[in-house]
Amino acid sequence: MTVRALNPMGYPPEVTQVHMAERFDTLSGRRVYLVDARFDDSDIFMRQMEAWFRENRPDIDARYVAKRGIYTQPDPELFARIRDEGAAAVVGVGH
Amino acid sequence: MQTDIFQTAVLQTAWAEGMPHERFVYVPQPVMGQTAARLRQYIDGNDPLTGRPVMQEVIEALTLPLSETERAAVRFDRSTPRYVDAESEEALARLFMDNHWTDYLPIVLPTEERVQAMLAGTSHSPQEIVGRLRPTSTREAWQFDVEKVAINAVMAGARPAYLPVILALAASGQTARGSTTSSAASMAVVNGPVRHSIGMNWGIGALGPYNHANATIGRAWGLLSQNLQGGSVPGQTYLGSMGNNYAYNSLTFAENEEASPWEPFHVRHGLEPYQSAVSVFGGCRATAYILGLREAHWREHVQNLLRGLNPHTPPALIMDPITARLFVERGGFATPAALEDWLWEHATLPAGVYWDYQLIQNYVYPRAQNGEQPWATWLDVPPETLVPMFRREDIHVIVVGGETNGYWRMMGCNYGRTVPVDPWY
Repeated sequence: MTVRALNPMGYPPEVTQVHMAERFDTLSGRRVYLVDARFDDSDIFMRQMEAWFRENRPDIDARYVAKRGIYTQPDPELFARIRDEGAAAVVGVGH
Repeated sequence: MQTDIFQTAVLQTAWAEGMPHERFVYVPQPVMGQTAARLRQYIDGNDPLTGRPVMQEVIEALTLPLSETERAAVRFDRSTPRYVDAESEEALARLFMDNHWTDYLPIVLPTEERVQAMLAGTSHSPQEIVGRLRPTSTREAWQFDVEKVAINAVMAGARPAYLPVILALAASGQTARGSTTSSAASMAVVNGPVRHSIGMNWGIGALGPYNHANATIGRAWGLLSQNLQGGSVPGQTYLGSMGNNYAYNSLTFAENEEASPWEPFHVRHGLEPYQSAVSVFGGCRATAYILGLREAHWREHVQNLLRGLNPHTPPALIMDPITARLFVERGGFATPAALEDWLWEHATLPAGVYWDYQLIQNYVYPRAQNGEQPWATWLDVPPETLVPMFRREDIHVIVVGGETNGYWRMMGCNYGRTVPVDPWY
């Protein structure tokens, strides 16, 4: 005999695919923003990454930048600047 | 860049945001509290999940052409069947547990008949949308209706008469299963006539397992939160490092309005005494306690309790009526507002110490930099200058207990809102 109950889960929202950006074949001579997401000492981490680029890939214009607001909030101004002036961005360190 | 322990949650979130192939590189956990030299070792080292050099992966993530898989359209199937079937009641109970739909205590299986009986507790349509919940502000919110709330109320062992309170909790938008790594719980304070009509406890043992309504309303809030928000699964949709035992019934109790020397909590938040309401709090972690108010040094004792809290989480004083009357007689606080004023004025820290708290750095410092008051004003004061630990409006006072003694507690938690219960009948 089958026993039946009602499903206790809620209704999930629809998901709309966000397509990935095309990549440059090289970052040489281009600007990469290293975005401090402002979570738990991520500023120290991202500055160390900036130092790595300076020492190992000086041909890449890697720039540390701190996102405004707490880590859960977007920073439209910064994101627009990255889109207009940057080739790529690394965002970290989060969870 | 992410730390490795969060891989599952990261991939889940990316999928739900429509970016199932977003490129991530992982470094070891933790980043917090590590020296610059240690973090440089992370960068010079290998991704702990792939074993490949971190910076090689970073460069590749930014330069490798998109693969066919990454370019392809993705179908996001999110169907949730209305029914759950099994061969026996025992197997069905096991299925609920295996699906992470329970709190690992026995549940009442939500059969159609039982859910129908629960729905008799409200005049609202089973299909009426109640609200949306999410584990944390960075996760997607799931929607739910009256029937879904009733299903979880059945599972918790609640009675139909409790359903309006449970619906009000569900409508609050405050989850009782927050995913924060800090392992916070939530708290619910019920006011008004409904306390009497459903037999809640505000006296001896009100915050303990000694009353059917307190126990099952709180449990229902927890179960509905985890299920209606899309889960509370460790490592996925729950990331509390230690967990929190308060979460079993989310500190659900009624205020002792009858013995309190002050206006009830809900009246101080815009409702009338004849109305019923539930007030929700989140971020419940720290609890300090003390007995009474000593004549000579009560001020210092209270200040010691205040300084024991994290300045990111303001105090709610949960006090027995004996202590409430002492605050009136010994402290001269004719109203809770007067006491809250005093607490705000005396909860202070040197600015240098205040700004160095990790949670203040994470959550307050960026807001101060954006010019938000009152914090922006405190950015430039000398480090030894005393600044308030909390905002005045975030400090609260609640009276509960059976007067077996004058113990009282200071709970670090964030007041959310007060939700009327009556509209849910």
